[in-house]
Amino acid sequence: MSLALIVLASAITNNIALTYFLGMCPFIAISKSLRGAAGMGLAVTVVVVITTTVNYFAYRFVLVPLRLEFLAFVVFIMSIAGIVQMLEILVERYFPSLYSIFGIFLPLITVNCVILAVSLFMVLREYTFWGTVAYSFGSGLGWMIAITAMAGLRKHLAFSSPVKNLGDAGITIVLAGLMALAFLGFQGMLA
Amino acid sequence: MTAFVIPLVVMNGIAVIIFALIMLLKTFVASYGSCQLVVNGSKTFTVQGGTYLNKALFENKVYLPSACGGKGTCGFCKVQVTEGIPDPLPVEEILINYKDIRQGFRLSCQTKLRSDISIEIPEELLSIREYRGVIRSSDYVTRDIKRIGIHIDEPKDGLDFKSGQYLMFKVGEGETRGYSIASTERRQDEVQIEVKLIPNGLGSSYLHSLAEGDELTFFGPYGQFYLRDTSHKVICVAGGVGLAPMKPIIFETLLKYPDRDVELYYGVRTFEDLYDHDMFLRLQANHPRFHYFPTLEKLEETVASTYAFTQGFVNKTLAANLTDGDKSEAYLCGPPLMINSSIKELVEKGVPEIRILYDKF
Repeated sequence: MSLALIVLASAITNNIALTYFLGMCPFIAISKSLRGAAGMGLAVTVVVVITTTVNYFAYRFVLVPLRLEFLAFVVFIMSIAGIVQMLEILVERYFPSLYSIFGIFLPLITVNCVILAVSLFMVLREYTFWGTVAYSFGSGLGWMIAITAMAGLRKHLAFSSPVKNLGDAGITIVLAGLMALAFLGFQGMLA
Repeated sequence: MTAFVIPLVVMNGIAVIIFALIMLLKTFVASYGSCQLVVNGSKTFTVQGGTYLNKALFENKVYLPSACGGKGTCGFCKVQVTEGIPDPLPVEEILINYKDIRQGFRLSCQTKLRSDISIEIPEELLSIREYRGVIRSSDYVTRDIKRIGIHIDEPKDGLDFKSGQYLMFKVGEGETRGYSIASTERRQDEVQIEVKLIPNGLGSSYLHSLAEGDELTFFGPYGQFYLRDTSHKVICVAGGVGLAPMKPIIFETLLKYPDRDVELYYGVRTFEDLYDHDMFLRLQANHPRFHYFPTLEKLEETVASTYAFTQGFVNKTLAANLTDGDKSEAYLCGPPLMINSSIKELVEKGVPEIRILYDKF
């Protein structure tokens, strides 16, 4: 499978938010404003690529040779938590304007299950190194597409009046379901 | 044996490496030099870079109001940054409107000092001080409201406040909660508050747990909700423990202004939630300028009082009794629902909207 195909497949046909329904909490909570959604999406993409790559090395060159594959969960979680903190410090120091866009989302990402899920899928699907990079980038991109699209829809939602008790989060979940159905249309596009 | 040792060594090894990297970054990357902090163009402080603005101000004895303990959820600690304006954070865009963001308003608890900065804060915030006191009395006035009397030990010249203002009490490490001053008598070294116990509420359960002789720390006085120096009739609308700030307002009006009438509309759920009822009845009997209208939401048959209560919500009593709306000013304190319905009623009665002051909680 070529790398471009992996990116497209993970971003669109197997969109991590809309086909696996992962990372739902920030997906609902941060999609209130377009700027915030784009910031969160960008932060997830950056973090997912870095953590998955690091986890790839940790898995291939430490865990597999020592036959400690069962430690993958613990090691992945530790490395995600650590890398997110390091990124926060670095971004704050050297890119203050970038920090203002996704600074507060960085700590939230530690508990975003997209990040862990991509690392675990990477193991399950036995990607090569470049395959891992392409897959993680595509997944982050897909999640970013989904959350910004949702933020755009919710902007319009502000001017409509859904059923009273469906409220804010309720109608957003219904919308996410409809978006997932729409994304189902891409299935089969890439064999 | 090795089956146990190797996983442990690997796991701890990885943890140590990550931890060491973070510590290295913290010491070498996350260090900012010292910064100049200018407040209102007159006071200049030198502070350690990398700290948050509210902490830096606190260390220099400038106490900004805050209800959330610096989590960026209440928006009380808003300041205007005039020089060295940082980019707005998404949290700030939620709590501060677009126009103010453009003018440099930021939350001080979210603003990290990375370079020299100049800020503007309301002049009266500079007079806010830290007080230390000892609890003199703590009594239940209803089943869930405690009246707490505090003797002020530090500073020696005591507390000067405007009727209706509130104090922020330190209720935990970095956590403060606001309570209105409920003193009926004006004394420099004594202050009273009334606290309703909220289940799992950090501030109320802490203050309810204190006994006579316990020490506590608070800051103040805060708030734009205070008795204005005019000649209009004073209308107080209180719901539940919202009665607290009304007491200084009522007593100050009666003592200081010989030609201002005071009307108190006081709504509670049941007779058991009513407090200071007898005091207000006595006050009404002694002061022809004071009128008292208690309202009970639920009126039971077995009320241990001969007083003829009105049943319903406060706005109903307001509608029935308020006259001369255009010559009045209104002070409201209570739950949002009550305030909103009462404001509607007051506007209908002709009270100008700029003379309606309220404190929602």
